[in-house]
Amino acid sequence: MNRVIPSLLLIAAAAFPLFFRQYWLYVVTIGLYYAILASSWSMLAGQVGLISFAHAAFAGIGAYTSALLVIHLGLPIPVTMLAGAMAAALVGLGIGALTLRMRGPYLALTTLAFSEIFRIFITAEYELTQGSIGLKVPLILGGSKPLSYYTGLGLFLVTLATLAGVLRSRVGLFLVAMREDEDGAETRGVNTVSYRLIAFVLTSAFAGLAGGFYAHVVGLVSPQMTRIGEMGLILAMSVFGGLESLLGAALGALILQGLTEYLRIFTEWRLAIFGALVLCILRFAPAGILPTLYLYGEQALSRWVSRAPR
Amino acid sequence: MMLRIEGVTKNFGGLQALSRVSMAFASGEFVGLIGPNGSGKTTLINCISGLYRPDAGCVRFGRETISHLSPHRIYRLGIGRTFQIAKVFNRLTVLENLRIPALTGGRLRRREVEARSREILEQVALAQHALVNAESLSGGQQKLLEIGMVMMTDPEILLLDEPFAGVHPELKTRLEGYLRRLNREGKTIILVSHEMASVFRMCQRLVVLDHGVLLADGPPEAVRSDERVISAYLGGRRET
Repeated sequence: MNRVIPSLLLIAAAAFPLFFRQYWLYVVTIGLYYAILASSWSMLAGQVGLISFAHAAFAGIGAYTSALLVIHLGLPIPVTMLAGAMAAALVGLGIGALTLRMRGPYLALTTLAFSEIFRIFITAEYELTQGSIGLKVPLILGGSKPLSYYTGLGLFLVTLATLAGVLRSRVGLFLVAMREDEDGAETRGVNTVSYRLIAFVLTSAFAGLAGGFYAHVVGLVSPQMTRIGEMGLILAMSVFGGLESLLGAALGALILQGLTEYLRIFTEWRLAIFGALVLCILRFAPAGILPTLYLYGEQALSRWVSRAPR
Repeated sequence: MMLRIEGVTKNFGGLQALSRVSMAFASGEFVGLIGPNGSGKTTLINCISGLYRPDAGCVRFGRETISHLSPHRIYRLGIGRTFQIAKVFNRLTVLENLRIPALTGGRLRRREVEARSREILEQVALAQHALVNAESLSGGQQKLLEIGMVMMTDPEILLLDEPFAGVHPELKTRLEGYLRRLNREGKTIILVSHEMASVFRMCQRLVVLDHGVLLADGPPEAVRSDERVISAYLGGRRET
């Protein structure tokens, strides 16, 4: 069961452009941007226990860095996207070094403040960023929708593989131990500050990478992508899909992104509907959609196996 | 002396948990740290292991002052500790719990970690539970696992905070045997316990704290007959 669902999802994802073109392909490509953000945020919140409200801002850093480097230096887009990821990682390192030595809500408070400061900065620095009008950015791979989709899918798989690899390594073992009992981990030799910082910088880098990708798919970067409502959406996607499951959070992102399009007529009420959905999930499937699906799938499978004639 | 506590004071708001406490521990000693509830035993253990930073005074390990170091560095220097309520990682298996301390320093290779884990599992009688989650163990088994975790890196000093509390008598006997063996092998053990029978059976020396002040320090028989200790434990009445 643990391999069946991911394999089916992968096949469906690879074949998606064969059946859907233009509009829905674009919607799902943007969904992949959110999937990278939601899965990396869920690793931070669900596996490490750190709440950051700057994930959308880190995506913004990646987007603006990539956009500015392409516009002013004419660097190739893959290089500028990587530079965007590095810029987000560097800012993450600065914020993390300041706040992660302390326990309690300091990371959440600092990232919330940083997020707003960054949004105001890019809105106010008109000369550099074109303010709230936004920067026009060259499109990736000439704007081809299937190729953009496959690029997004590739980046998403790289994100998932890297984060899952980290969680399966000794660092992952330490992260679980730290979340269970920080004093216990520290007195067994785990340098909890360093590992929290590693997790924060790594997830910030992936947020920056996602932001760079988004910029060159949409062709426009504006302060809209860093507003706190966007952060709320990432949070809702992670909780909806499964906060402790990287794949679950990604699935939550794709489902809510699809719903966003269906619920477009409700304008800002969409967020209220998402809030209600998240409340229902927390009440009836607190582990999230995917882990609950796994559970029911396993139960159905074992019932089927036990009924099969011997 | 291997471990020195020099004039350590620790306050929590208006409460003085430790007041200019000084003592020293030699290599290979088995010392009981006793005192009534609230006397400062756990606070002292927390100061030694780095969870608390003393407000005054210092802790020295060999020639190095360690009271400003973080707990993970103190553990890596060779001072391991356990807690009153065993701190094991419930969602990890027993084997994974053991791996964590061994992997942190990066001194042991993966194969050595596996071999050491198996060895410790045998010593703490948890070999048959290696692959179950720590939350499925009994309270006593969790205490054994915690000592096993600490022993993974072979520390020189063990600070044990109430290792016998809530432990089944059979497991307690096994635990006592294990601690005696570790001490025979040269480990310095500082035991905080209210189980006086075990303390008097095992320890060569007792240190008594009361209201954060060092009350007595000496061989068990001398401490047992010390007027101040009797007064602290029995509220002024002499034991008959």
